Amino acid sequence: MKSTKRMVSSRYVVLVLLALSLMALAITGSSLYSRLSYLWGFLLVGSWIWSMLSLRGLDVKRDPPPPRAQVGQVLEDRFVIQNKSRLPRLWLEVHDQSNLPGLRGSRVLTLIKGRQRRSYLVNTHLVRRGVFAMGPVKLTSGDPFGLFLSNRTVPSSGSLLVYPMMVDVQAFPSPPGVLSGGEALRRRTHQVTPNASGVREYAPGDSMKRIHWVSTARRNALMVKEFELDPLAEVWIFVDASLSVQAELPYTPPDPLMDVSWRALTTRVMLPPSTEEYAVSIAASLGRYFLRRGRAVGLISCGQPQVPEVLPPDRGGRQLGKILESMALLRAHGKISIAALVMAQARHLPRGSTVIVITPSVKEKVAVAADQLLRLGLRPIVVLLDAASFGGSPGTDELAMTIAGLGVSVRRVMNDTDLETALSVDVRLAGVGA
Amino acid sequence: MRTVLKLGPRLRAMLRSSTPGRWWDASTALLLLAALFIAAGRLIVTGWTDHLDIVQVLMSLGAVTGLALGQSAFSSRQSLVFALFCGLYAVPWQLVLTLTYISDDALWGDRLLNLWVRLTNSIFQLMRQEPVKDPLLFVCVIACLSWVVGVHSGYTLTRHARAWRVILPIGAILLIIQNYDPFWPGRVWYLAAFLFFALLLVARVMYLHQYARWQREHIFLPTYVGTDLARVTLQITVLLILLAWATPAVSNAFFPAQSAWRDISRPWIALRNRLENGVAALRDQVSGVYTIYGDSLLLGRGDELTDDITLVIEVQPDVPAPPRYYWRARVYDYYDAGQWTTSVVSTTQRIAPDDFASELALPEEEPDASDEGRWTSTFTVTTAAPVSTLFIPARFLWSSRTARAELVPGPDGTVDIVALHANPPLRSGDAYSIRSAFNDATIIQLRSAGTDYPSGITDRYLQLPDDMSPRVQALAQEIAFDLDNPYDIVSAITIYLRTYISFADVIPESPPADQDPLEWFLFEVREGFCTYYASAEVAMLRYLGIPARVAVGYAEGERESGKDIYMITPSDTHTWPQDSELYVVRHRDAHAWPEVYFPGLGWVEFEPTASQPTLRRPLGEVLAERAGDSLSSFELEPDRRERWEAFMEDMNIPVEDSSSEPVADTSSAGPRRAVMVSSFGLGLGLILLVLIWRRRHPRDHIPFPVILQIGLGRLNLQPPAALARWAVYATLAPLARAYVEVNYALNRLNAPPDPADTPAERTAALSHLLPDAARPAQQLLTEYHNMTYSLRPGNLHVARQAGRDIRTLSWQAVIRKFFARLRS
Repeated sequence: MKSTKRMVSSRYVVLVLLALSLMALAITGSSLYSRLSYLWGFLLVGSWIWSMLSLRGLDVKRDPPPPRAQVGQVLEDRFVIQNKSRLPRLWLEVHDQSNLPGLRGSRVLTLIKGRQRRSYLVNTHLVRRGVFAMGPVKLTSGDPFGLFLSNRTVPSSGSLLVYPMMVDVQAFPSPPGVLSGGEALRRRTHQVTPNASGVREYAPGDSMKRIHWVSTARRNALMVKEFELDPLAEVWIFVDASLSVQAELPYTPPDPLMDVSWRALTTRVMLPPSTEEYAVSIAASLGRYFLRRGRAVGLISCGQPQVPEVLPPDRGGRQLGKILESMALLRAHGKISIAALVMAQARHLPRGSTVIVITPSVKEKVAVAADQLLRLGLRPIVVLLDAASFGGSPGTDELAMTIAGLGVSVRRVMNDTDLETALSVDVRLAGVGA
Repeated sequence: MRTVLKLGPRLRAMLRSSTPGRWWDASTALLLLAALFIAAGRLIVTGWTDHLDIVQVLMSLGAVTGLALGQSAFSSRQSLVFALFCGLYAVPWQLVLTLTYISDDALWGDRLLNLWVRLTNSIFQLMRQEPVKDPLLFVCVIACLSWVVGVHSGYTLTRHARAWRVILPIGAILLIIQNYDPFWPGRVWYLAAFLFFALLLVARVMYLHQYARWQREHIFLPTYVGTDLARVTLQITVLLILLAWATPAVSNAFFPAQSAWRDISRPWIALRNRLENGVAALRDQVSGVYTIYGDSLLLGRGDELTDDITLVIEVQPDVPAPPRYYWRARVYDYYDAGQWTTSVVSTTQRIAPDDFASELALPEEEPDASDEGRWTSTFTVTTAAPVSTLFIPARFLWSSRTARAELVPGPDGTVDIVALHANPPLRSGDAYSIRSAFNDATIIQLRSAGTDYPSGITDRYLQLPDDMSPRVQALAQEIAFDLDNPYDIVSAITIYLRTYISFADVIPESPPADQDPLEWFLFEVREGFCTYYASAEVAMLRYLGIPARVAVGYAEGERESGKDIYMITPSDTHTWPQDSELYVVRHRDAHAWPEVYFPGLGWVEFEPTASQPTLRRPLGEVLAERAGDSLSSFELEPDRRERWEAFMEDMNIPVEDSSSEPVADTSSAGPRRAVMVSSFGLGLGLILLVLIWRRRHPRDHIPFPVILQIGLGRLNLQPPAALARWAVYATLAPLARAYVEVNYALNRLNAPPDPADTPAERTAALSHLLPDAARPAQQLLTEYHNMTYSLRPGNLHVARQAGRDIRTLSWQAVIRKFFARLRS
């Protein structure tokens, strides 16, 4: 902005000099002022024409980005600048206005000859999860004296979804499920399980897919299949996304311009010291851990003020994609506490399900919620993020001890600790301070 | 002995601290030094006085100091103090070095004392409005200025990176120098070189700003960017300057601009003259008087002329004198649209003194001194200012100066000299000799010359514009009625102009664009100065078939006997022998006169300007014998006078004989208006300064009406209601000021709002009364609500525009209503 103002004032200075020279010429008729008038006139008009022509015939293209990538990966972005005109360009500023952190697509090019094509490759270390627009690209050029600037914006070439960082969890509790034992539950299961327990009469609302045609023909009435719940119970991951309990330390992301070496690109990305980022990364890592073991994993979080987001449990790679996408977009702006969320959702979870609660909260209610889960026949595991180590409230140790006292498995994760290790160690066994 | 510099803890901390926002760049520093070096060099080559070379040293030292201070962690005030102290050392040090007459063994205290005494003497002389004879004052002022310019440039460059703030003062100084030292064409290349470095500096500083922005916005920069840009900028700058210098120059002044400038600058002439005392000791100065004798001569509005001495001309005492000397600078032959020019001019190469006769085809045999009415005379002309024009009385024969001549074809294969330019130009105080041939034609000779004009003369000197006024033609015929002799016709026209046209050195207004300036002069304004008189006479003579031209230069001046004559430069005061005959020509003697061609006699001067004494020519041998013959020379007979006055009455011209009246002083109207224009300019400048100050100090600003109100209150005076309203308005926030237009509009529409009405209700009322204003009113209301009741930032620009629209629409409605009422 300052630079633009300076250019405008510079332009006015030349304009005033031209006016003064013309005035002096009119008064004195001296050839000196005639020359000065020519000089300022040529400078002004020449600069304006230069600036007008500077972006004509220039085209910028960038390769479309891959739809998805993951934090820690290196994104290759190729820019191609084509000068279709015969006129050479003195300087061109390519300003990539993408909001992808660390993208180094902006640069200044000089002396682009007529009909010349220039290209450059930008490797970007992805350090943040989320959706990022790849563009727009603003082209700026002007005259050498900085009197006039010319701008043009090339629209965005798409967006990039960056999944959160995941770690390879080596060991994590995996409680077995329970079979419901022939009990006819008149409630909907989220999916067809391989364990059919029997048939019953069709009731309004039953899916047509579940009609058992053989029994229907035999009984001359619509009969539907009843399914046993999965004996390997579902895994539900609750991510605490309420704003009030989050904590983070000041963080300056590494400046990609400071180190452009390949080594810098291949260095492992460190998580920002934020409970939100840790919670997301843990949820994604645990999701992948259980899905790899063939478990159906569901996810519940409440990043929006009032609306919980429930991802029904499922198995397979597609479910991992859904979890990662959900985690990539999660923002801890919620108002519902984790205890309230758990209590509200727990009654809908099948008995024997594993419930993993990831929270930085130090409130007693978390312990109450864990107790409630136990009472409902669920198998809770609590991952406590040590808020104090992230600059938040202390009390994680006491809460961990309380929850562990209930017989619930507790993992305590501190800032800067290795997630793989932290998730493997049970507080009950390691004690507080481990 | 080792000196240990001990710095205070605060100073050490300051020096250690980082200096953000500094703009050190080696290239810009070098460009600045180059620009300053050229500016100083330009001053040195003028040779105005000795020891100007200290300017280069001081400018460079100042620039280096400024660069260092700008880069330092010192605040601007600390930097100023530091620069002041450095200057207090550097300037006297350099000035003392100029006192070469003091022995090297002299103590510095003695040298400084000597310097102080010389400077104080000069300052006292200046205060007493006497010319300062010692050039040291000028050198001192220039030295201080050089230091200030150097420090300012360096500091501004590294502290603020403002290229134009650096360039403009230096450029202005260069232009001033060029203006006062214009006679060496080659020296204009100093300006070109300065512009070259200045433009490079602008480009480089702009690159630095861009570079900073690119760094700030994390835009990757290859290392070669600066080099590439510098290379191309260099080429473009060279091209620009060559183009500007190579393009043919437009060198005609624009009359209205000249006229307006004269009005504006008139009040400052006295001040300028007074200040010129301070530089009186310099070798060359330019008064600018010679610029009026350029390639063209506009009739114009006249000039206030000073009493400054321009030329001192020594004449041979034992040689006869003509009725009056005219020191001619140039002649014009082509007239159109109020402007004289010289048609078809060829310019010779430099002609050495010995080659004038051969190069200009001058008559080899000069008239014999015994030949009555014909003689040659040699003059020594001493100039008071640098000038290139050589002033020639009568017919030129020889000059002691090498010169270039502007020529037009003359009769019988000869050439007429339009002007002579000394090459190289003359410096102030330079003297040259001129020899001229005089032909003091008697009246009888003039009468008997006949009308057998050479074709070369009639072709060139009978030209008139196609649209010459019929009234002027009629007047010429009327004046020449019943006269068949060219001399009598010329005399009649001369007498008419001297009798019925008043002299004014400045005329109050310019000639109307749609009227012939000569018609306007002869019939409407009926007053003017020499250029108008000469032009009118030449035009009427040409119409009557008598070849004539306009000559410009100086009138005779004051005749003095030999003595010391002070001519601007006291160091160059000239002394002439006591018995020498001198003509002291002053600036106010600048003059234009008609010259009429008489076959066999050549060009003869006439004097129609009423302010000049009548030019009386000898009667001649035959008529002299008839002593007391009153008809020997042309006299205005009563019958002819009656006839002219009857004609003037027919033409609705008031008959006023100006010949017996003192010269009318009409010059006061010009200065009065000039004072008004200057006051207006001064007022405008003050307002501008106040506005700039207000912009820079928005928080310190107390609105003017509030100040006025407080002032009246202190005087126990009740402020008028309008002032109170204005004060309230001035203290409103910008948004409230925009919104208050709704209230004003309602008042204008005779529906004053109730104090209890909400803004929405007022807007609704206005929309109801004036549907056209509904849209801007709604916009204004929305912005008002946004800014007052929400966290959203309102758009003040939109609110202001809406306020303006409401004001315009409401006034339009009021006017419409008024006219509707009138119609009904």
